[in-house]
Amino acid sequence: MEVIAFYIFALLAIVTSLLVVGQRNPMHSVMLLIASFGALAGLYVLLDAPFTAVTQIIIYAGAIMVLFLFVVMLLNLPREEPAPPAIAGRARPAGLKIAAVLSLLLAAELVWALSRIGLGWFAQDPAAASVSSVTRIGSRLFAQDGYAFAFEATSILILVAMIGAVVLARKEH
Amino acid sequence: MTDYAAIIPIVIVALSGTAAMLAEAFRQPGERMPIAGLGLIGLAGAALASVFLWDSDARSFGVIRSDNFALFINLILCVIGVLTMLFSNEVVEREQLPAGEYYALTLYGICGMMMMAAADDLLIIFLALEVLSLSVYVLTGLRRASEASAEAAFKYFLLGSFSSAFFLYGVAFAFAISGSTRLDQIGVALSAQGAGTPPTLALLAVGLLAVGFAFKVSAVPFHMWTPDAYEGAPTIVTAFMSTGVKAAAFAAFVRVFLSPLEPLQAQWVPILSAVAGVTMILGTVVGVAQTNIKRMLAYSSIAHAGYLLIGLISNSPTNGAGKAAVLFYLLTYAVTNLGALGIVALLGTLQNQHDELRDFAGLWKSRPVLAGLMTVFLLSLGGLPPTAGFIAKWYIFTAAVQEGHYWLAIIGVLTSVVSVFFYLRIVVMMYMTEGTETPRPRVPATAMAGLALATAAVFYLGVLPTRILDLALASIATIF
Repeated sequence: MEVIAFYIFALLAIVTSLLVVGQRNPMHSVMLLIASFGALAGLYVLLDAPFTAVTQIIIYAGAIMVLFLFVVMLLNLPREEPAPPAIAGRARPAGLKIAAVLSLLLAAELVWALSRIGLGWFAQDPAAASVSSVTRIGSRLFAQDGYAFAFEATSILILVAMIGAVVLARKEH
Repeated sequence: MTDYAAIIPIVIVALSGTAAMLAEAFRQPGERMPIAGLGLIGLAGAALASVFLWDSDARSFGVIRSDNFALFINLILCVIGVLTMLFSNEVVEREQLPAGEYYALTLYGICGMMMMAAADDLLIIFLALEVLSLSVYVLTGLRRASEASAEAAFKYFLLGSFSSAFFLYGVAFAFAISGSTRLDQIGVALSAQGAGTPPTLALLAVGLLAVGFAFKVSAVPFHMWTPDAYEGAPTIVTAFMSTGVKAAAFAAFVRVFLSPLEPLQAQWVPILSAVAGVTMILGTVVGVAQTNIKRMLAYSSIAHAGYLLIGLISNSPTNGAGKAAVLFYLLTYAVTNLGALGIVALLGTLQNQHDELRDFAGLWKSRPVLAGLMTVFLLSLGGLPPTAGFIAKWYIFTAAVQEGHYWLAIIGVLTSVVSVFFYLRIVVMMYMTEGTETPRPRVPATAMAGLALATAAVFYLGVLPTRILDLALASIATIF
């Protein structure tokens, strides 16, 4: 059952990610990216990391995607302009070469890293599962000798950032 | 049940910042609101709480430690805050700064500074550093109509975030050594290594943390942002950030480097000595060439960071004279520099910043009191007796000689002598040059009270320094 769910989510993530790159309309790309993030969140649930899954949905699929949408709408780009042929002719081969080298490098790196640590590292560790549980994170975060003060200090930091953004960005009257 | 006593001063200042913000929100258009008064109440409350907490060595949440060292810095920050509030009332209105945001950001900045001085954990030091930096970045860019202000804020922000990243990287390495960000546990892990060459990770941690701190105290070679940021910011903000940020950053610098990183003293003392020497020389030499007062005081601020670094270096487990000298110097620098820049801010208008050297021509004729007070502050910055600046430098150089850093003391004395030249240049301008037709606005009574307070402090610390120095010595005795 879990395996089937994994394949569904994995396939969804890969297909939607590929489609994000292939769209001409940036709005469609953003929508597909949300689907891709949702599929990733599903994978996190399968990995016994519900907290990561929830933050993935709230922060990435929620907040950050809204930001992307705003930018797309602000720039008012209904569809991507095709590059002028003169530029495209010169830029594309060089860009392709660089991209190919980079992806080869990344693949080589992955293979090397996996061969170094071995696949046994991925075996289920029962202790690891409970670390990312919401209860554990909550009690660590709000325990008096834990990160309670850091949490509150961060809230002041964010408040300062908000005031700053408003005061610097608002219209002069 | 944890003890909340240690965070009371921080919470009071944070609440007064929130009150300032809410007051602005409920203000009717055109209505005048005494927001500076709210800030004064909050700062007085924080100062009072700090006095009551004296000798209690209170801890809260395991990460905030209100020992006498932190409380002494708290009191310095309250003095800085009170003086800033007294000057701001008039200046904010005249320069048409957004009042509520200005006061809220200033108070939150002080809150971050207090947090930084009392933090016993590298994570909290980082958060406090960000709170105070963010407020100061925004305050720098508060004059929306001015291009210089926006440029200064942008430069400061970019370089500042870069240095925060260095600092955070250092925190990561310190965590890698000890498995904790608590200062005491890092200290235990480092002293357990024993003598001999320390591990690479520890050296990386020391180096990166030093870069982060050196940026915030504007030590050479991380000083590049200082002249631009100080010149572009509204003058009252320059006064606030040159004193407040320095006090908070040096507090954390001393706490981190002389407590958990003390076992590595043999490694970091030579590096910081070189930094201190270069900082003093560059700050002084380049300062001589400036014709803009704010830029000149920026280079003077760099040179003063060099003197303070001498205090940081000149310590041994048996001799804490350097640390006490740093505390005394920070207080002296706070009242002196705030006074000098406060006068510049009070003479400025929306059209004319009154920050060029020639703007001061003939000040003695039109404003004899202000010219006299400015002279006192400039002489104190230069370190002439009987002002506080002389005593502060005296203690720093004595500590350096006691610990055998002779050449640092020599560079310090020589650069002090050279620096007197550029401070006296302003004095000469005020007294001996014919005045131009610079329009100079009226200075209100509250601001004069602030200037009187700063002057009194300069003379009190200069003539009767023993009491405050004993307090400084007592406050470092309890922790290190």
